[in-house]
Amino acid sequence: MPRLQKTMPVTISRESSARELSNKIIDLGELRGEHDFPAYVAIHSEQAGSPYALSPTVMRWSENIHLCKLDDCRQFWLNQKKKLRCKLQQVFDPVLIHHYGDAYLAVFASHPWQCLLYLQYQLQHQGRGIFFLQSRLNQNIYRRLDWDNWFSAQDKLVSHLLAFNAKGFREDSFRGRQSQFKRFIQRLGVATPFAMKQADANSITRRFGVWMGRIWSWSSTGSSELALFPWIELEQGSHPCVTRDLEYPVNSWAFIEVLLREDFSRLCDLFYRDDCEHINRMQWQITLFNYQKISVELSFRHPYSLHRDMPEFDTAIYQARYIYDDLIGKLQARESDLDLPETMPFIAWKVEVCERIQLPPMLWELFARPQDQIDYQQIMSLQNKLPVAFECYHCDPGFYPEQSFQTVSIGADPCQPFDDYQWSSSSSSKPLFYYADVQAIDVSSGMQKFFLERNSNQWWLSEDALQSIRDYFILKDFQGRASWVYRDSNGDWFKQGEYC
Amino acid sequence: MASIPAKFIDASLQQQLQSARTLNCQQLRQEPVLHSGIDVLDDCFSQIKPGDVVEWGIPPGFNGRLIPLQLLKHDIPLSIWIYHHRGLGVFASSWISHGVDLQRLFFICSENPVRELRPLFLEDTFKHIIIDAPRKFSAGDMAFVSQQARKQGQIVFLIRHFFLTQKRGNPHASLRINTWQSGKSSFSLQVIKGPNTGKLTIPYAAVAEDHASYH
Repeated sequence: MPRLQKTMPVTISRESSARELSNKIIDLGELRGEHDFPAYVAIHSEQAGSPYALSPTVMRWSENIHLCKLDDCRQFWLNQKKKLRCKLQQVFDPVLIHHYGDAYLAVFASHPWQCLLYLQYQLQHQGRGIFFLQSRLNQNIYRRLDWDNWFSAQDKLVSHLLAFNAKGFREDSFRGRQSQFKRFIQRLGVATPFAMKQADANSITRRFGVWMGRIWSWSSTGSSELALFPWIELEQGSHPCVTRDLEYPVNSWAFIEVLLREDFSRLCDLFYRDDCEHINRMQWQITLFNYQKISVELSFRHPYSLHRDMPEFDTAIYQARYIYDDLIGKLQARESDLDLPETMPFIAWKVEVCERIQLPPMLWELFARPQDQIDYQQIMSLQNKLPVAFECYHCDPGFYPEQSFQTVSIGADPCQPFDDYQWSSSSSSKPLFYYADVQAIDVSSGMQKFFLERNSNQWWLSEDALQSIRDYFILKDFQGRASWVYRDSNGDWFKQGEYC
Repeated sequence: MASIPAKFIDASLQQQLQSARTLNCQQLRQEPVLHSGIDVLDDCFSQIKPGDVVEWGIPPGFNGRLIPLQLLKHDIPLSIWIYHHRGLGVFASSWISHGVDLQRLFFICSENPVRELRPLFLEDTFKHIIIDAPRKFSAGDMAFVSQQARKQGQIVFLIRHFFLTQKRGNPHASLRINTWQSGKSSFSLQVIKGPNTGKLTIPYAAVAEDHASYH
């Protein structure tokens, strides 16, 4: 123990200085503030590792390639990035090494097809490690991928479309369209797909069929919508599940809580105690006294470790309690016209773990403690126990009140660092609480008004610049209560906030 | 069996009392937990320590929330503001402009906080909890919140949407105070319960930036 205490600061300082150094180097392959969090990742590895390394939603593309939908755990990964105070790449790299060893290749992008296209290119060039397609460097390379890349990636796609039983897809017809397309580009002499970026998906569809049009659109879309991409979710093997047939019907939470706690404990015994194992979603199937079966979901905002929460299982119990209250309320409303003595009791239930993710212990370990003393792990754990999420805000450059800030996830970095002084200082005379939906009001002449400012945001975007002008006032009613109001260019008054 | 500390064995009762007073003085000399940078306000809150509940009387429309906000500006620990105002949401830019660190102050909307957000009071994640005008908050809730605050060393601000009076007291609160903006140039504070009761005034400029157009 004393040895650990002696060595720990050295390790931290080395680690932090390495981070500082790497932060100073301009990395063209790294994501910048304005980039969206990548929605998908394609991972290639010769070594068999858990496919659920980054997300519980996974598709097996080939023997060595997995696609993961990162969007499901977006907030969690952003929080890890904040907690470790490093780049996204530095968060994912040790996790992927933990699961797949050093020789992995991972491509992050907004659409799975783009991940696969770029992954194939990097495989041909013996690429290793992490590539963010949104970054400037990778985006430039991606735009220069040739037709061979584009067409060869479609070979595997065909087998998935057949397995997916995609509506309207026929292999022979698709191959015919492919050949037609190849002849077309040969005749035109266009070197790369992106040299033909003026052609939109509709025109490709008209000439070369629906599926060629879709592939064309997937290749350049900035959206994370699958848009009929053949996503076949990989089943997570056996789902740990416990059932309970009650001796007597129960509907009181005090009894249900005790029994549920026992069931969570039994559930823990069903899968090997592994610190990597985290749960995203559980299914609670309740059988009512009339044998009606109701399925409800225990979902967690942040991956939840059942084993770590032993023996109380507070987080899971809280979530079950919220669901129970909601369900009982609905049952009471449904049966209010019936002459029943009490709410329909439960006679049996089944608890099943539906979605799991494998997170390596390094994300929770001692060296990953936050340096700025904000323990995001603790906040996330508390948030998992609450029925509503915490609200977190960042300043945004905008003079219109509704555009001057944005809601962000806990621990998220501002999109783009900027000097917020001029924006924030303009808000000091504004109230602390405001109406997101402004209310039209009548302002009588006897009311006191104090002019605050004239405000116009992005007037250059509107056809009539005058329409965007607002004159802001503090309006006092006859009892002296102050509201924050504005008058638009038509002379109409709107209430936008209260000086609480 | 517990033994008597050695230094107390031979001492007289008077010496023990003196010793106890010395300990008390040491406690009193501790740095105040809440700090605003406004002398009048800091004097008023100098006795507040972790585990205390402060009750505020702030009716809507009088801009009184700017006063408790002053105590959340300087190096605050993780704090949570639980609010429930009909149709109103947090106007974050205004909070930022008043110097509040929104990396450390979180918000959550609840009309019945003790019932709906029970886990929040059972853990010490947030060292300052502000319960702003809850629609449902019983005497039992008050006792529970106060007990939890003592247990976990948290400071709780309970903001009421009406002015407090001495007729309806609150044994759980160590400080009860009404605040409102009086006129254009100052804020008024009326301490109902605390070490020094009475009325105090804070200039507007000490709380927020002076706006010539408004004054």
